[in-house]
Amino acid sequence: MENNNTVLLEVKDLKVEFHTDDVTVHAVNGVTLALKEGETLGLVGETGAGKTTIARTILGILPKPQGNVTQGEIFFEGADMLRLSEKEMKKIRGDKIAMIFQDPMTALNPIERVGDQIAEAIRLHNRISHAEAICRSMEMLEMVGIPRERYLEFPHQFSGGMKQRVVIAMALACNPKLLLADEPTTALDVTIQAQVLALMRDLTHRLGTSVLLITHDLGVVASTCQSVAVVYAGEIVEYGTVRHIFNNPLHPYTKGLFDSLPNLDESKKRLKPIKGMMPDPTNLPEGCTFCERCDYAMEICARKKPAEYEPEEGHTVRCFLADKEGI
Amino acid sequence: MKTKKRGRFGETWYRLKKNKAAVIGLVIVVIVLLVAIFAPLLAPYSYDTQDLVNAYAGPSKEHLLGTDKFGRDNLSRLIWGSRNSLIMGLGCVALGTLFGITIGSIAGYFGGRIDIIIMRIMDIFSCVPMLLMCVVIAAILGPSIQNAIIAIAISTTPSCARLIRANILTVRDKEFVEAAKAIDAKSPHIIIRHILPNAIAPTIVATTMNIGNSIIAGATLSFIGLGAQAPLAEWGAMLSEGRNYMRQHMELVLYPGICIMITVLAFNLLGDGLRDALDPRLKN
Amino acid sequence: MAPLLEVQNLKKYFKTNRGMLHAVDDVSFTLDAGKTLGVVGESGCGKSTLGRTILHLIDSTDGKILFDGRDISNPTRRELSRLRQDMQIIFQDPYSSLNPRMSVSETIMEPLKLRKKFSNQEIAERTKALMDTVGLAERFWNTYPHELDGGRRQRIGIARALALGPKFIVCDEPVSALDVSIQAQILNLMLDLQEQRNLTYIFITHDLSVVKYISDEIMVMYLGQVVEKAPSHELFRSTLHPYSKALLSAIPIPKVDAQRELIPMKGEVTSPINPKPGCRFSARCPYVQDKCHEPQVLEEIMPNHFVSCCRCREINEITESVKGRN
Repeated sequence: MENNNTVLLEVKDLKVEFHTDDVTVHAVNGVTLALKEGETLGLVGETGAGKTTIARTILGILPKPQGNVTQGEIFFEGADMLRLSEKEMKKIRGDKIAMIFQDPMTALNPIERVGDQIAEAIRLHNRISHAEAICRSMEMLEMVGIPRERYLEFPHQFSGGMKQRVVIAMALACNPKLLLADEPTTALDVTIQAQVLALMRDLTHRLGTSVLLITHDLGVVASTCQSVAVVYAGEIVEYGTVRHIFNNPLHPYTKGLFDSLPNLDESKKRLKPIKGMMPDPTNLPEGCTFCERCDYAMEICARKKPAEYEPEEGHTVRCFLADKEGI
Repeated sequence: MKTKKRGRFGETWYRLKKNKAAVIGLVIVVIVLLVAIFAPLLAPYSYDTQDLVNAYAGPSKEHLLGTDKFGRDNLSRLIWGSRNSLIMGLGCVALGTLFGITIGSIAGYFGGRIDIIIMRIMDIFSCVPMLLMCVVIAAILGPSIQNAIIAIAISTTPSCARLIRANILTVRDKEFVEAAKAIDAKSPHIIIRHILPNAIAPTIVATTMNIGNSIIAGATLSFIGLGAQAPLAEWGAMLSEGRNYMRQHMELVLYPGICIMITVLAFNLLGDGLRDALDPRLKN
Repeated sequence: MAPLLEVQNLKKYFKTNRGMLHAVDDVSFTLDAGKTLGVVGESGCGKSTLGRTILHLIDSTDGKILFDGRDISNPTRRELSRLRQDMQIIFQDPYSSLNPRMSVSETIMEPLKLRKKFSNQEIAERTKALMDTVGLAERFWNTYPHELDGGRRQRIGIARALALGPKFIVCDEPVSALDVSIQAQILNLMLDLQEQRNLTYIFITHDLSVVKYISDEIMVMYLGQVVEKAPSHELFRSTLHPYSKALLSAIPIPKVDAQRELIPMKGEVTSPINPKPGCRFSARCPYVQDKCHEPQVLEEIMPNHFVSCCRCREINEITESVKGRN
């Protein structure tokens, strides 16, 4: 895979709100990110940070009518996805952009043979004969390490790891440009997770697929991604290459995440947890969203939202500690 | 995503309010209940005051809905009848649900052999047609409202027991039940405090729907003479009395028939609404 | 000093349609008061069943359990009632381990109420103290679990387990359902409690990095059997069993360029139903040989370091044997 610098996906200042009967949930609050061709970007954050909502918005599968994009643009191969009609989106979905969910059973039909499900996905976007589709489907199965003899089996005959492989095969069957993987290995055991991650890494590298990997596991990010966006309360608080984030974390939240991880290599007496909890997304604070939990919070933090600041090239952070001039 | 919390009851009520049909059902149910409770105050006459001179009278100032063959006031009999009809409907359901919950929770919680034996007995019970059961019970205990209630309750027990058992099976393996065992709670405490409150919600819906059916069943029994006995007023019994004079005095059948229909419909609308309100996933 | 808990040849088999499922097969260990034993393994290795069998939440098939010097393998109703004061459990899922119809205070005071020896005022005082111990503010007294986040819910579970003043707690994956920042809070709380109350833990988890942080000794299980057992630091310093090695190598490390060799493991976990007599890991082991299909013994390869692998010495090039012990 040659080093390619064409931007495939660009999200600009995206805001998504959910309206329920009497409250508004601010799920995504001005997210900007760019994904180059062949790049793997990790979206890291805690439960409820808005990671999944970002992915769903890109794919245009927000739950309606509660979910609304209130601001922003999403460019995929130069076209604004938010302006496309449902019919045009259908063409892109599954063909150019595919998604993998945490629970493989959400993507698999329990009463259809797995091989046929892959073949069907291929036929949906390619004008090929049934026999050809079956042939491709078998190739895909082998590519993810499942013998082609299992083509005729049903999802329940597969273990969790195997099911996730089938889902990956299905997602990659049409050779998509972009793969959205939402916690693809969280439900799996570590040894199986290692296998599945290795498989994903290998396949996406070979096919040149860009990946948006959503996870809460910093270990998975380190072993899989080239760049990382740390998401907190619907905002990207820190964004950079893996090296930037792991070797030189600047935002107190990112630092806090690293400190609260039990580490295999060093023995720590006590972990350093981040105090408190994430703010209520229906009632976000005026200033920095992390302010209440931050050990270094200053007087300004509660009043003013820090802007994006770029201390080194390709590494941005939203924090006044780094951006002294922004105060 | 968090939303504002209203509590379980508040949330259900909030959703129920938005369902027009359910609200109409609820209003009718409340009205019928009030009528039944305050029947002595509302009814202009007693249900058995006879006025043979005025038999089969049409609507008039004294008798708003006319009189029957003994000259009894139709309106008063309908009002008093709501009492007996509702007692039949609610009594059967209360008794049947009580049996069903007890039997179903024992079978579901203990499982194994106890479960198999109990559920097979329930299967046998549900094989006997309700009417046959009522005839047998009436033959043994004599025909009366109480015995009709017992007969209907017994025939509704199996379905209720089955429903409860299925719900209990899903709750039984939750970790909080295990936690209760770990703090040395005894089985009856676990069933009553931990399992039943979490398994009972679906039964509330089934019970509401059942009231309608039980009113009809009660009316049926009274119609064939196994329920309310003369001179008691009961809608089914009134229907039965009126049926001989249907040609000349259709209103004698029409009044109780409409009452039964509206009441049953109201309970069913409410039941439907409750189901949607309790389980929002079913909708949308 | 006699150990607080001694488990000898514990077995738990479940009857299934396809045969006997060997959930826990011949597990033995001892645990001293105030210490933590970490039990690690993948889903289906029998680690949860082990914890529940020790607590008599599930009856054992065979084997002996000694607690505080007494044999508790077949307790009477009264003995069991006493035991439940001394032994408690904290569950994995803070969503299903709390009764949704009971408020925070009701849940925590339930064990006290069941004992029937405290006055209402005493119960209320103790409940307040417990909430304070686990870091739950008093304003949550009448709150219901669904209104709280995972971390606070887990604190309720911990308070409930502490209510009767146990000596020993089985922690069944207490932090795996929590976010990392909350996970650290709960782990710290559990360590504090251990120090204050001299608690003994069995800490069941699939996460090796968590177990390293909290345990004094670690037991690695595979399909119902113990494959390796060693003091925590020793296990991480020299991992001997091929399965433990593979497990360790599979953990993604949150560091850039943390290049580690992924030890290949063929296929996935095999079935624990009617297993063949030999090493249960043999079907996936990269070092498998004929002799692996014979029954294996848990052998003390190094001081206090037990491994159940007949090729352990060859693979790890260990020449000396343990002397001076038997």
